[in-house]
Amino acid sequence: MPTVAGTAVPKPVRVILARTGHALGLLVAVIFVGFTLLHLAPGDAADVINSISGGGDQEFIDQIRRDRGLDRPYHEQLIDYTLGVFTGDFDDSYQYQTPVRDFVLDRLWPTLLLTGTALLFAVIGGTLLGIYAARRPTKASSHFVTAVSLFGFSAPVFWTGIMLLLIFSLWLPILPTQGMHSLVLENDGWFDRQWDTFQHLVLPAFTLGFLYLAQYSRIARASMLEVLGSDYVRTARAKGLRERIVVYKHALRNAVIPVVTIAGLQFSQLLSGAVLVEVVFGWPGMGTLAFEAVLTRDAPILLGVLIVSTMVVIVVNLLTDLSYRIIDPRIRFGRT
Amino acid sequence: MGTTSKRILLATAVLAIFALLAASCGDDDTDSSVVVDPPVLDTVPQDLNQTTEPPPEEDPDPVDPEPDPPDTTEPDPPDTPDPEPVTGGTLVYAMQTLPTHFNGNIASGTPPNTPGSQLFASPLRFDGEWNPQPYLADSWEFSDNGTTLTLHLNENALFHDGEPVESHDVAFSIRMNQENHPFKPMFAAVTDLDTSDPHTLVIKMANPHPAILIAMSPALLPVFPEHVYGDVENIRDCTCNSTAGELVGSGPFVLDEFDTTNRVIRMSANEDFFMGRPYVDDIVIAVRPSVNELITEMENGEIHIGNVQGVADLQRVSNIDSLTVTPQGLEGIGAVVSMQFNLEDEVLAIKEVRQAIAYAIDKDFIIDELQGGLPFRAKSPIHPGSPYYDPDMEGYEFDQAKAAELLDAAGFPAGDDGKRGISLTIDAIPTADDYQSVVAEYAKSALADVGIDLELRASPDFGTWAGYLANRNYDITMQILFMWADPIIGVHRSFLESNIVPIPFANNSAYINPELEEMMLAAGTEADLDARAQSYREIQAVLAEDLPFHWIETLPTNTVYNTAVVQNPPLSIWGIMSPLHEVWLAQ
Repeated sequence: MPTVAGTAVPKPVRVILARTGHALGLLVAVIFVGFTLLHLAPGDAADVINSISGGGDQEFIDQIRRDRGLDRPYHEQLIDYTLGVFTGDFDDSYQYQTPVRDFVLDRLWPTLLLTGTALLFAVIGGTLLGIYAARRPTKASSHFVTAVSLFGFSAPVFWTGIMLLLIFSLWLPILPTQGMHSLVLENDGWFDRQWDTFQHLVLPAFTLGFLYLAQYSRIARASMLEVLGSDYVRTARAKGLRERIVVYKHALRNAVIPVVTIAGLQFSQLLSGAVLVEVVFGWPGMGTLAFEAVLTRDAPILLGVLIVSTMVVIVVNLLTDLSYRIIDPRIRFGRT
Repeated sequence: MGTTSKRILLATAVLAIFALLAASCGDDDTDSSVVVDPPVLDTVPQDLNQTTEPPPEEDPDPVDPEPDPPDTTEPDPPDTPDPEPVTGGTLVYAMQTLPTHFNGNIASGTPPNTPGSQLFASPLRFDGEWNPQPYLADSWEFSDNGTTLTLHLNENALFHDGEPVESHDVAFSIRMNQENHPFKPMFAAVTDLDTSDPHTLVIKMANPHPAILIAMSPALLPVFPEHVYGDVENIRDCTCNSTAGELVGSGPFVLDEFDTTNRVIRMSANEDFFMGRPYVDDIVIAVRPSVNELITEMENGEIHIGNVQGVADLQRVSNIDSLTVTPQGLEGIGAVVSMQFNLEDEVLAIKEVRQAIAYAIDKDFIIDELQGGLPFRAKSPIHPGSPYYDPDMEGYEFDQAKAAELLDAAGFPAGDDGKRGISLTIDAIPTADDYQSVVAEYAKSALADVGIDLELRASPDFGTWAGYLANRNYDITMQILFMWADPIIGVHRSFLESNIVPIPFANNSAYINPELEEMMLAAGTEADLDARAQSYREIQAVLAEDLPFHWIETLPTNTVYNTAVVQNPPLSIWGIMSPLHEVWLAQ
């Protein structure tokens, strides 16, 4: 590759800078589109606040519009909002009149915990199932894995969620139904609280992960089958390595690349899937926040969730990119 | 041989999965099939729809003469004669929406009042029959001309910080309410508050104002300590309305935590509550927007009390043995479902057209077929549970011939295809489908039968619909209006000319009738309650004739509670929005 102006800047830094530039552009575009769409929708904060309080007078309504700057022209509001986002100010919620930033940040951790656990479960579980199936491609157990995968893939996530709730919370009452913490907790030690959260996490994370588990196990199986047939694996076997070493050390590394690619790409889908799962399980994440904001027409919260989700997706994509370079030495910086 | 055994295994695996599914669904199915035999009647006294009596006075008897064990609906706590109340335990109940504050002096509604009524006491509270009961006020009396109300306050009442509740605190709360609460008619008549005796408050009014008593309910006039809130500049935005540690109340429970992330409110018993320490140690209020999961949690005992509205949801809870369902509790809010007409539309401006539409709608079909007989029939803006409701008035009984006649007379004869050249739209509140869009869909086909074209316009969310309503950008809309205890609060507003403003829940029909306004003014300021009831009967007759709305039914806000656990459940007209210090838990 010809080195022109950027010789002084090392390649990894340049890659990251370029990525950040793209990310900023994307973010501004998302703010513009989101803000404009919500602005175009009929009814505003004044209508919302007024309808919550059961009807007030015109003076009250005008007061709300003035206080929130809703009487200013559209472009001023847009510019103010965009500048605000870059300084960490996401405006105030219509409903609660408190900063949106606090709301979204409070809900970010539960969402990351849920999606992170689900993703780990799906990637690890999917890959292991895929390998298992690939090593015995014609056995019945392989077909069983296929059947489970297809089932998980085709069942709608809210349906799976409700069924699991009915089975594990009502029928066999061993897991809690809603939320992230018990309403009444008998012992209040640190460990009790973590255990309580873990119990609450099991069903939603499984529900969300199950959908993707299916896909990853299919991908891992196909890619493993391909890798197991390749020359270097034959060489490894020929030099007398044990099958376990061949599969898990030599073949897996290559076989897992497509899984990581898809997992990274699909993280945004995982976030949107989390909306449904969070609503079904009352998980206090950004999904429920967005869902409630839609119902109560709390545009600033909705926009805040949208922007923060965009940021999360951007960061995850960047991390995915970096992780390829770690898994596959052929695409390290400077060698592309 | 290999392939055969593989296939068998595969088939078994698939079957196993389906069996698992079937088991989980089957559980659900058997539940709903039970619905058919012992119908909802068991728990919800359905026949109230046919009778004209207000719900609270009705006997829950009939249909099923054999006496039922305690899990049926009885107006009184359904337990054995003299159970000794037990102290202790945590009462868990649910509400649908996360509140933004707990201050009933700046706005009322189930979100602020459900916690607010535990944190703040008020001068009076009400039983299940709309009778005022002593609360912070031990006794009270009106002067002969009805313009002065004297409250004698309980001398033992303390705020959560230990300071006594005195007359200046009540006066302070009334003023806060006057300045901030959207329900202006509650205290607009109050001209002077005499606090010269710390335990006597003398309220002077410009005119007789009997509704002031119910306006002193916990949901409408929580008493705030003046020494804490007196210096707050903008009470609407004050964090002291909802933050543990800052909020100082007067009620039976003290705020411990308001967790907006996990949507939970925690309170503990006020040890020094002047009416005696509450039986339960703690209250946890869980916000549950989704009724489906709420019911699951109620069934497995995690939540003890909740309110359920949806038709299918109510039928589901009726079939859960451990739960009691009753239409009692929350009559005070008085929600009535109606069809509202925009009188600025030139066709709907014709009274006969509106009446024809009313005759063309079969309320019995709506209530019995579409909604499982759960709502009560409504004929006026006054909730059938209210003492001011006129049970004897003519409703619009389903009569298509009459509708056709009225339309002919109004100058809309049927054409060869049966159509009358009237084409209208109907809107519906998007958050209560069973009682809104479902009824609108039915209205579309019902009106088609009499030659009127009706088109359903969907709103994506509540705000959009409220915008249409506020700007009178509609022909007909489905509506739910809340009476809020007295017609002067929630009924008058829809019919005042001065209230034709671009705000939802004002006079959004643009209905003008100066004569009716005079009648309403007279009724509102009538000190004699019998005369007042008579005036409201006359008002209801005028409204039924003019029909700016077609009132259809009540919105069922049924209370559901765990029969074995919750003793002395809150079934007064304010239900869960009344102080819960007398509720106890059997464990």
